[in-house]
Amino acid sequence: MKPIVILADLDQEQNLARPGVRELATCASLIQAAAHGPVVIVVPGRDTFRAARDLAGASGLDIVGLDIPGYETYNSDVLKTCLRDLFSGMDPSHILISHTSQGRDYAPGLAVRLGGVSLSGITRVVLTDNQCRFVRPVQSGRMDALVAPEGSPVVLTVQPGAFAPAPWGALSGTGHPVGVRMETACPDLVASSRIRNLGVRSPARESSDLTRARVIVAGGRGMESPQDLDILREMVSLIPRSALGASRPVIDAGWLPHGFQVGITGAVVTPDVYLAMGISGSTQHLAGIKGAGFVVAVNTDPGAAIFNHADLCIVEDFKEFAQAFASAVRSGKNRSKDSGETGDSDGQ
Amino acid sequence: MQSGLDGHVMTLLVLVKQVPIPEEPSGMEMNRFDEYAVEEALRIRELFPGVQVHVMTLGPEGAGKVVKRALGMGADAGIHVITPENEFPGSALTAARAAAAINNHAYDLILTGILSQDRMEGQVGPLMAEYLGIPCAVGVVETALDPEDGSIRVEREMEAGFRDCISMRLPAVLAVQAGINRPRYPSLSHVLAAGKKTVHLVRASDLPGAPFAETQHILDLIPPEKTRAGVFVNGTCRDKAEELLHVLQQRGVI
Repeated sequence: MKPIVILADLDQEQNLARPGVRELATCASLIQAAAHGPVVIVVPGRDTFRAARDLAGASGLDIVGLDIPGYETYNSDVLKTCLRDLFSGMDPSHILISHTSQGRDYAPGLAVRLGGVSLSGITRVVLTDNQCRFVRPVQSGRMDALVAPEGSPVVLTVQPGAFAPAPWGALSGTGHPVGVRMETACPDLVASSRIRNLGVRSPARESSDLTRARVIVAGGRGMESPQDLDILREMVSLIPRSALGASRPVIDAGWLPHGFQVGITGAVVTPDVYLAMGISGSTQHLAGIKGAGFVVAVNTDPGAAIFNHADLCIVEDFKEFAQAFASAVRSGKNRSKDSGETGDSDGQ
Repeated sequence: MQSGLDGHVMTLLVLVKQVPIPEEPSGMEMNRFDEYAVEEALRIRELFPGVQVHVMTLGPEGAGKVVKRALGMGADAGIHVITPENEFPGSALTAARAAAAINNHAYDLILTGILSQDRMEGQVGPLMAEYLGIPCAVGVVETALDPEDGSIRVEREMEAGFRDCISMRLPAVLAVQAGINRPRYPSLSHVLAAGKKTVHLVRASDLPGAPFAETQHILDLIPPEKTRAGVFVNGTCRDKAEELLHVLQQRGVI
């Protein structure tokens, strides 16, 4: 039986596999229903033994620790070469990689080197006629495509957050896990690489209240000018403990600094209420608001992807809607003033 | 003329794709992520006068319009690999054809957008790099070309605002991220000049090594699963605003 391989992303600082490995494990267990092979986790990096041993203990699966001499930080050139060498011996049916900034950088090239197929950003596994098919977003997230790969191995990048983290123990490995097997990559890979690592740059510290806010009012692609943000700022001023945020296009246009960006590449947020104003709903943005208590989406386009991931859907131009909302709040306040009530609209 | 170590004129290639406009039935435009790739190539040319910028699209007859648009932005020459109508090829097929189409031209740097709005695979750049046997970086948000050294320093976007800084030997492929620059609009003078620029036409079936195979088949298009309640509010704009206010009050946030 050809193994189903999970590539664990090693946090080199902590010497631990990143938690995404358990989401990949859930995806692997679904594939296993049709592909039947044992699940094996591969941990590539520097001094991987401890992480591999911990993972073997937790998962009960076979782990391959792949030590790459001189490997300091992620290098696609090096990783593709040593994984090709490793997999040519293992002959996997499927290789699962998190769809992160690293995964999408090296997974397609790895598939080519193995003579296989690469599918990116998959969100579901569908079994039909004992065949594994995969679901991934298309058309700016308005639709999903059901995709059948043609060839082997199938290299999959798996959308973070699409699969629940697996409870370890639910997976079947070889049946007789030997625990950890250590492999060492060719020693001169890093020195001979065409890519030289120059380090990781930390984000500039910018103040924003996104992580503390109870309500986030966020603008997106629907904005036509920086002045449109003033309409959202007015909403923020009317809602206690709220903060302004934005999706990527607003940041890309230079209308707000990076600290305001909500999404995987910006801030992952967990407000009680998230108001998405003129936001279409890119995958990376949606992943950043998964933990919000309640999501309200306002968009002129009823087919926008955001409406599939909102609790309350409002088909309106966000500017007109924001003005209507502001006047509704004000008249509400006036009413409570007139009737002498203290009301609960005065911010507690 | 800007030249590399061996004295040749540096040439950049940008891949652009024509995609449907979702809101406009039968409307087509340049994939907006590709505009950043064109812009980045033009900026590199401005820093190193003499560098040539070529632009290539792979698409049906009508897709030549996006090559014209890139020429209107200022690219020097175009290539249109004409693919069958109604084919909607996947990334592996497109990347294989693109690699075959440039086979005889040693480009120093190849740029693509981060993904296409329609297929959303984000794989043409890294697949093509592998077919050509050259290094690749995905999610590039900063570039600094060093022609004398034959290398380029790039920063790749990682999660939470971190950046991976690397130096790559040329030739190389970069899939550039949105926001790396502010793409310019086509200028009148360039648009007028675009008519005189060469657009090399080649049929996909005439490429060396053709035909190339699809590695995946789309069996069906299905509406995405809802991950939340997804209740649509009816009525006037005012009614909807009142409803939101009501919901916020119920949840105790206003």
